[in-house]
Amino acid sequence: MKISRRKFFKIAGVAGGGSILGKVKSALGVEQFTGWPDRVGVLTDLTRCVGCRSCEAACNEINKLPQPKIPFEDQSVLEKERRADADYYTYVNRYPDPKNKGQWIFRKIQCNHCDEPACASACLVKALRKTPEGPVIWNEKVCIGCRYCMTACPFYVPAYEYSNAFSPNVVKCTMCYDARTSQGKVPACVEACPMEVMTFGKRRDLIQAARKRIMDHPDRYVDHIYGENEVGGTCWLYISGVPFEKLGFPTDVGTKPYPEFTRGFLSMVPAVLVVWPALLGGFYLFTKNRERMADEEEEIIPEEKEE
Amino acid sequence: MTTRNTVVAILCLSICLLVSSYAVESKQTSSSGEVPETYTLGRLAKIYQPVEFSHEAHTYITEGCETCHHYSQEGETPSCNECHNSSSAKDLGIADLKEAYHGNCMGCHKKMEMGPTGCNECHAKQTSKAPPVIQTTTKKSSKAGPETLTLNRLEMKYEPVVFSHEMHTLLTEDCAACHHHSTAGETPSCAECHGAPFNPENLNLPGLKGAYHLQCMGCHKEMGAPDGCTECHAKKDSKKSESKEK
Repeated sequence: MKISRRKFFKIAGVAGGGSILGKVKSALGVEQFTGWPDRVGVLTDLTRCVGCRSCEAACNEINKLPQPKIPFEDQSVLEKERRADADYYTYVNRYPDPKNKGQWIFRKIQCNHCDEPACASACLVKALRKTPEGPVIWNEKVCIGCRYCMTACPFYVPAYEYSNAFSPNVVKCTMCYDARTSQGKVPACVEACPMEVMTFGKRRDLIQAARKRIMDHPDRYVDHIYGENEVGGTCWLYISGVPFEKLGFPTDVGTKPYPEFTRGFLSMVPAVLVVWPALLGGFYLFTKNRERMADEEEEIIPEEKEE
Repeated sequence: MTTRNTVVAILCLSICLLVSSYAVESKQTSSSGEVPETYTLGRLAKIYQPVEFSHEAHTYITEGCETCHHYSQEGETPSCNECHNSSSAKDLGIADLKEAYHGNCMGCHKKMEMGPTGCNECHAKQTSKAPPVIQTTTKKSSKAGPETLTLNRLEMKYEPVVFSHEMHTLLTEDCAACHHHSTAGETPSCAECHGAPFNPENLNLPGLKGAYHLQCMGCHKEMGAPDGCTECHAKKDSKKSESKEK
């Protein structure tokens, strides 16, 4: 059976395009993921926080972190706005209360445990993982310290062990996954809080509880649950008495899960890597073969003429 | 015949004496006479303070006597050590008394998510002066509840908080200012509603610790009363607590 050059390109084009389109379709299918159904979370009611730093002390103890230079009882630490560090997985910052002059509003910060975490999608070696239970955890044995997760995180959460010269890791809050939450226990910071600022439970129940709290006290809260839709939803939720941008929350993160921004492109990579070399190799062989045959014909034809 | 009788009598008596000398479970029987009110389990009195087991409270909580007095004929409630004792454990392979107590009590406490499950929650260490419970003092003349409440659940870290209930009844106009969300005239204790936190049935109901702090500090802030941590929870002498830990 003879195939013309035109027909070959037609078939090759359809086959190649089809395989790429097929890949795109399956990637779009993943976008329907709305989070693990029974994932747990923590609802943080910022109207209750008094900035006592009990949560920081509890976190320090359970994660066996180094003792801080300034003790946890010392409130002077709050004078400077802090950011995530390898020495503490959670910290409290304070912001001036726009309603009452001279008063402060405290904000407890830690990993928000996104439903579709940007850090995990950016990780080259799968050191970061979203568990079906809710927490986003990291595996220090796998981490190569590339710090891609630090750039990917919309909340600037993962911290780097700059002080560790030989095997530095990226570290962050794990919602006490190994020690507590995987055994059905409450995270250490949640348990330690004297004001019960944080409520632990199933994320869907927490959202209902938060809605009810806002509905029951419309004068006390702004009508927004931070983390319900931010970056596609997070397991750590916040309710507040003042708008979230006043408390340093990033409010420009959107509601689209971060991995989605790269998913379309990244899902094409294997298709391109597999299909294109095969296709181009095929073209190359085809044209080379043709050229060879043409050359051979040319070589034969003069001989025939001579005879 | 008579000698035989006296021998039997002496034997019985000596057994009774032996048993009574070994008896460590003192009963306090309620007026009805049949069901004991409390049991004081004091076998480990050298190490721990005796465990005050409220039999009465547990009869209310359980569905029937057979929940605890299991594997017995209907209507019969043999005491635990009738079956669970050292000899039976050897002969029949059933749990001895210690194992039976812990298995039954802790098993149920865990299952029901009620009641203490930690060692020191039942067995207060002999060295600690007071068991970690809320103690009340009542004036005989007072009709408006207890005079003071001593909150010492965190006594390992802080000095106990002595809450003057009397002073607060004078300050507030109404019992319902604190004893909220209850039927008029009723003043349930805080712990009656505020138990363990994060109840999935009602996530917005604070636990006892949260309820105390939110209620007390909320009002203290409004009224200008002390609201710092150490103003209520005086720190224990650090040197003392360190030496204790050692």
